[in-house]
Amino acid sequence: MPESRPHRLSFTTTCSLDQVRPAARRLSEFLRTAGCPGEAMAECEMALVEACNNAVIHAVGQTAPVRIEIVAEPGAVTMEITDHTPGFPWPQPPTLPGPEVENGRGLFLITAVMDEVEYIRGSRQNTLRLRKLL
Amino acid sequence: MKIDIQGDTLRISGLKELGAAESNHFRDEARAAMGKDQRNLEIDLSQTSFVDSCGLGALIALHKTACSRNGVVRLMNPKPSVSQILQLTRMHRIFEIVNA
Repeated sequence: MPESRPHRLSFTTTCSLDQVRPAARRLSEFLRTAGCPGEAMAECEMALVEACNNAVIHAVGQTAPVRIEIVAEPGAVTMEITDHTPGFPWPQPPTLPGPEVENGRGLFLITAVMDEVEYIRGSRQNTLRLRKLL
Repeated sequence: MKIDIQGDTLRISGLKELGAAESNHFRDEARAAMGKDQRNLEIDLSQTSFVDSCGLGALIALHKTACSRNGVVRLMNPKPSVSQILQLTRMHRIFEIVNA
């Protein structure tokens, strides 16, 4: 990051798969403006998409928006994705399913491209905190 | 998305993104376009800027369809960001990936 001042972006997105890619594009534009390197930007985009997909797909019976907070600073990008799903026990570590299985790769991908992953499961909301070192 | 048939191969091109929002539609369109004579799928990823795990799921579903007909799925010219997700998830083990 060329500047020492942290850049911050915070927004909510509708609990819909159609809104995941627009949210990722918003992240990319923000990181581009902040001077984030291209490879790290693509990996942050991948992790955000997988996190938001999970938040939407597991939001059975509720439509509360997903909240996204991003801080870009010299040396790191931090993203927090907060949903209102029942949540789930985070696998330690997430593993790949068999090659013929059609789902279940999202958490593996998130941990593969992020340097720090913390899942805080609450009674009313859950926050996934992701950190990418630059 | 553009679909062409050439002999025993269904060719798909013009995919801009293959994410959760469009993966089911993509899978169903491809399957519906496969006639009884098509057993292979050739998917041009040269214009595809993004694939997520749901998009991978659609590709795996098509792989299973092709396998049931003794065919294969070829992924043509994926961009670096798409190659990365294919490698991370070891999809290069089940798909033919062609960089021409």
